[in-house]
Amino acid sequence: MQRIKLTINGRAIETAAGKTILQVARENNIHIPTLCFHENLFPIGSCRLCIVEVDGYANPVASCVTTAVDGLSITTHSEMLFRMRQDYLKFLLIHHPLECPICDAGGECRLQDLVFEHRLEKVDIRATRGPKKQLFFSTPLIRYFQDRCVLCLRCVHACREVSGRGVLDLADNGIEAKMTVTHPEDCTSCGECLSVCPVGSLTENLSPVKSRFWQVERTRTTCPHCGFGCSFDLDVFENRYVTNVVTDTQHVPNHGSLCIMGRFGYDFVNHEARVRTASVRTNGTSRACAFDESVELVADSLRRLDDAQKGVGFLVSSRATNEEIYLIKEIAGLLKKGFVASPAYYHTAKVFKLYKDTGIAYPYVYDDLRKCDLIIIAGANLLSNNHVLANKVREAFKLNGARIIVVDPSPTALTRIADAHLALLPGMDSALFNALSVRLLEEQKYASEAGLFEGFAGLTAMLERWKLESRGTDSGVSEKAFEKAYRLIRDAATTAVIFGSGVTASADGLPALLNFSLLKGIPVRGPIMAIARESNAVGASAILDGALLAPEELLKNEDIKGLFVYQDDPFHYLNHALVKEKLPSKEFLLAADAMTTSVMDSAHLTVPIGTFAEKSGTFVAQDGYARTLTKAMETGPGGFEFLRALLEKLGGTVYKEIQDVTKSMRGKKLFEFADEGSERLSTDGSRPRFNTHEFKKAHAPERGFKLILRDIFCNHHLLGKDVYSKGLGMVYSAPGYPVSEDKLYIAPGDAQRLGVEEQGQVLIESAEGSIKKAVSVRKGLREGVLEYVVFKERTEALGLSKHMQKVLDVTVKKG
Amino acid sequence: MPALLFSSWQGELIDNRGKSKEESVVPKRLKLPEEFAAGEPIKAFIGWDGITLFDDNVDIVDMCARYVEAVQKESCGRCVPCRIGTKVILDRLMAISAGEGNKEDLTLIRSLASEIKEGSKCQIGQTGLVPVLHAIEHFRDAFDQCIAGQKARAGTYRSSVTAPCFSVCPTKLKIPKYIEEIAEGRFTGSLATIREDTCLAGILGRVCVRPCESNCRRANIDEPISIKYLKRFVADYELDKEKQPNIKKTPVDGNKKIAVIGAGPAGLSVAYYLGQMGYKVTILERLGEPGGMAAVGIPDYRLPRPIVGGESDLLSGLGVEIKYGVNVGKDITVAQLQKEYDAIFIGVGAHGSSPMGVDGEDKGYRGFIAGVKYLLDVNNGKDPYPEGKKVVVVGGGNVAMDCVRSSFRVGKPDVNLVYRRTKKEMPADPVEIHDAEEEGVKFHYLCNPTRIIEKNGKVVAVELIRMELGEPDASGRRRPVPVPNSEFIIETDILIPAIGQVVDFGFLEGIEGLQLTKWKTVQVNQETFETTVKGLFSAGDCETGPDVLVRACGNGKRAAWKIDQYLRGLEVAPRVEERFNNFFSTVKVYQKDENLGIVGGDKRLHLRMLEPETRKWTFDEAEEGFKVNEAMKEASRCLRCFRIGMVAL
Repeated sequence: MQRIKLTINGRAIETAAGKTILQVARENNIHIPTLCFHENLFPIGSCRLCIVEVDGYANPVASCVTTAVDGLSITTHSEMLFRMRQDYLKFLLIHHPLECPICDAGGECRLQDLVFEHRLEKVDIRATRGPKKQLFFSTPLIRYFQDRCVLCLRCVHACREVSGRGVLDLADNGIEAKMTVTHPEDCTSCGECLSVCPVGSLTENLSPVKSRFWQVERTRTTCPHCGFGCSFDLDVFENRYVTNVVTDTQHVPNHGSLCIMGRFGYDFVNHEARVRTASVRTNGTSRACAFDESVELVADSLRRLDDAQKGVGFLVSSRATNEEIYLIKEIAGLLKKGFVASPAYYHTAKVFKLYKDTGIAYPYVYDDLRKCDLIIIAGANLLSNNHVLANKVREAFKLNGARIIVVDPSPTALTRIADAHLALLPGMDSALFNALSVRLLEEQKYASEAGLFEGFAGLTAMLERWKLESRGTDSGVSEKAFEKAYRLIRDAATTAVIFGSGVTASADGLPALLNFSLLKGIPVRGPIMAIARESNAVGASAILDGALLAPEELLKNEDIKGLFVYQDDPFHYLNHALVKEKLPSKEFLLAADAMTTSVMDSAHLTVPIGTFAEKSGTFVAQDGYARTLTKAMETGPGGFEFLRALLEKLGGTVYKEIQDVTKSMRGKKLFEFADEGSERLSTDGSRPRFNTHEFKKAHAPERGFKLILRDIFCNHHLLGKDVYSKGLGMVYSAPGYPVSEDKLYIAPGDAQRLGVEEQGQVLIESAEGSIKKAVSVRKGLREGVLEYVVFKERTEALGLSKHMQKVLDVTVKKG
Repeated sequence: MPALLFSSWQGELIDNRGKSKEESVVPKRLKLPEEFAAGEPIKAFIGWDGITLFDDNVDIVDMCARYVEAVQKESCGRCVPCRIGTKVILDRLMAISAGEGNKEDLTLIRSLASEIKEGSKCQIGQTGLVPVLHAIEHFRDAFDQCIAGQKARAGTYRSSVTAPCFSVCPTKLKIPKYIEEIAEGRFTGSLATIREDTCLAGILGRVCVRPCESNCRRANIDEPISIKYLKRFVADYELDKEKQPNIKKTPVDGNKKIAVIGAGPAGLSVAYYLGQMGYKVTILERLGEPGGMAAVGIPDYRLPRPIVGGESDLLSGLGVEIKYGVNVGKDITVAQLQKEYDAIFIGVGAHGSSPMGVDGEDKGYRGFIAGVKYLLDVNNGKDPYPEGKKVVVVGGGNVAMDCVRSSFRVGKPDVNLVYRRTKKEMPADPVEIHDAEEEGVKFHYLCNPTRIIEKNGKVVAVELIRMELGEPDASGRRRPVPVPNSEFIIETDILIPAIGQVVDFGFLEGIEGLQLTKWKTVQVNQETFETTVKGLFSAGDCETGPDVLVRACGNGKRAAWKIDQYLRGLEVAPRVEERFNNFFSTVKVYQKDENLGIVGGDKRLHLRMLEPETRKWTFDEAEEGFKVNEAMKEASRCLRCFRIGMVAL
């Protein structure tokens, strides 16, 4: 990298070439006023406040869009520049309503700060402009005050550059120019526009209680909804109300971005259906009981069951903190027959195990995407969860020109910028990735170091046999698409693989994908990124490693007579008939949760544990790195206090503070310290090796169609027994996205063949159940595939299978 | 030019007010036509560089107000000073015009105008107030009178937006707009903008001679924008990401049928526009594929055939039918077409080869192959002359470059080029010359063939005579003059004349009245593209003579507009925008010596090329297009030089 020398305000600076003058100034703590500049966006150049003078040149230049070159001598503040900046601010103030006292941004407003900095006391110029009315925005969650807009255009750029949507645009010319919603149907309510608005033009429209930043306690914590592990601040008013979620570009790993769940999914904390006191049910009637009594009750019941040699099952959410899961594991360990299960079983635990078999370390770094020239996303819909990961992919696209391959039967959000969309049949991932591996081997285009991994010879031989038996691309991908994708893969120097539960839906999918990844030199030459739908699936898998059962096991096992359900709801993802049948057979049923769940209808004891806003602790995010939760509200004893007291009562370890539990986990070498003081899962430095078991030929759909159940594992605190997040509940938006109603999608060709129209009824039959439902036609969805985005009517969808299954074989007829 | 009263254009201040004819100064830098259109003399011209006045009946205050009104209308809203500041000034100017202004207004206007000029994001804001500042300085009385209460007199004006690059583009692509769209990440939007003015984005993005880049103001501070490669980027983006093109029809109430002879750039462009207007267009093409010279003249390593095919496929979505293998003049006559169609467009191009005037060239020697024929064979996958291994190509244009570089690719290792002037005078694209040099073509300058040497009917050598440069000819290049007694011989198996093309008039069989020019091209009215036969129109190489591809695109578009007027029974006449295009060509929008006063230092991005030793033997595309990040970075260098010119009529 070339180095250059320049001076700013007389100060000599040496730096790398290729930066803008503004970047150089900021890096050297030299202040230049800006309004439209935002670190997450390419420079916009609309406010013109960052103008600087350059010696030897007659005109000032906007420093945000001007490259710093060797030998420049720059002045950032002068009388002329000050006057120009003042006049530009005056231009904005001509029509900007001075509503600071009632504006949400009061005290946190860039315009206020700039006007103050430039000592403007009056605006002595005028211009006429048509009235700007406040209009409906693209989402009911954001309120748009058009007359406050300063047309910095950050929102327009952010929507496109960061979120990859095209909702907003600039319309009309001259002084009538305005920011307007051109494609409301494309909005996902991620709130990126809201987070970048420097004034109070875009404001959140969710919270019934409005607060200013000096009226609240602002606490940094981690989002509990998906595995990405975003950081944000909770504003809590009078220790009672969460009034806002605020973000900051400084904080890793999301640097100010969120999705609809993170930004607008907090209001469940304030919901009336909060469980706030313990209650015990005897003979059909429940009465409140105090904390100590509830601990006593549980301890007694557990001891009784244990003495009678009866099993006790502990079903713990993969959104509980590491400390809570760890304590539950200890409690289970005190019993003769203690069993622990978690929904992490269904996907992340499988990944965990297979990674161990393949010698791949779990942790990865999101920003490694920026050095990749090819990114493959398989079996992951990075919109209903991990939207910010999709943002990271878009970053690699805009900063590095990365090529994208999407492997998914559905036209997921990243297909917009994909070079190849391999719309395979669900469950056929092994066929596809094996075929790609075969090609890499045949043409000797695999990474040279892969040839030295253990199992290479075995892999080559096994794939030869597989090739003969399987004959080609029965993954359902066209030959043309396959060839295009293969060429991109073959020529890529640094490849990243991102994968989700679509790949683990079939047993051979992930082993085949891992083999393929190793052949491309991953994880050294490029990262492999497993994603998780739940915020602490990785933590749960790590802590319960080797002892993690499937949730339905706890229900079905007749020997297990006690059931302790912690922050989880089996009705959320299991066959309702099964759950209803098995729950009454438990002699003791404890439901410990923050929101009301259906389990509580038959629980002997219900205990409040607090939402994420009331907990301190840690998660392990999907990247294998630790995230911290900090209690933002103090509402009395919660989950930790309960578990800690119970453990002590049962004669186990006594933990005084939550940090003691964290220390204990460190002591067990669960975590190791990485660069920059971050903590991640311990790695054991093992070398990668291929999975050489015989891959069988993947079988075609048995009943003609594959039904994919989507978003089963969204946080039941948002959408569970009831709609607890009113924000999420009021949004109806882009296809395939968390919606306010259950949606069944069908491909246009299939709809036509079945003679079904938009919103027409179909009859779906699986081996174990059937449902009737209205369909929505979705262009781009692969034929032979139906997508069911699950929301409230889970009974029907989950009734199609006796055990938890994401992909089902079904017949579909006009209903 | 009419008698000039005042001009501040381009820093040349001329004030002839009150002077006699003898005392009046004639401007050196200002070039203007007398009339805007027939019967519309130009009374004043006000634009980005100042004011010019011919008739003192023009009210300067009114003209300034109308000009700033045009600026406000054009202001895109992307920066604060222009968007709001020009409105502040406009309101003051309107008040002054209405006799309701005051003295402080002028002070305010002057101070704000210079802040807007220096701080705006693009040239609309940076130049929009320049004439106002000039007017206040030199026509102060007019303003004072209005401030005193007199109302300004309303005049008649026409204004238009131009830009240096835009003004020289033969097909009037809105260059700063489509480049801005790339910088903002709106790639499909950028392609849609390009497709408003041509259907051949991918072709032009690879082979256009890009007059725009030699008129790019960025060159005044560092290097011109890679406009051509950015065009290629968005065309390729649509293909790479497999997006569906979205070309809308905007039907007029025409139900007529048009026959287009030739599916080359001119014919495709005409069909594109008429198809969008809802007409039923049939293209009759002699060869088996579309594109004309773009397909069979330009080799695949420069312009891959699938690109050409893909762009002509756009037309089928508009209902345009292309019939291949139809030789008009033989298989069907123009007279027959006249009966079946309501209008006919002739776009046959210039596929014949110009003779060199050399002994033996009409004797049919084996190994003597005309350049266009050589390329036709090469592009059809044939080795034009398998027996020969050594090649000499005569000529200095792009066809000659295509011939030499293709020769390697069909397996001829010894390739030479003969040109009668020096490298400096060669009309070929400098990038092509450089790439040919890299690949190992041997260049022989300042010599010309005199005689073909044959043995048994086969070419074995060519006799050449050395040349030296004498006085400049009509094109400004120095005329080559033979040096007496300097003949010498180059042995060769293949001799290829590539010095020019001529039109093949075989299609004229059976039609009367079609007049040709003295250069043996189709004669057309340069404003309407009508030939001397009613209902017959023509554009492209067959009308201009061999010219650049982009001109065929631009003239094809304009011809389509005229055909539409003709079919609807309207007067066939240029649009106002065409008149402004001519107007701005005269005014010259780009000034090489303009001092921009801002810092540059950002070099332009070039495309990656395959290594010379690899690429010279294959027809694979030699250049690789921009990646997303490269395109956005290059596009962000554009200064968006949109400017407004206004005439008082």
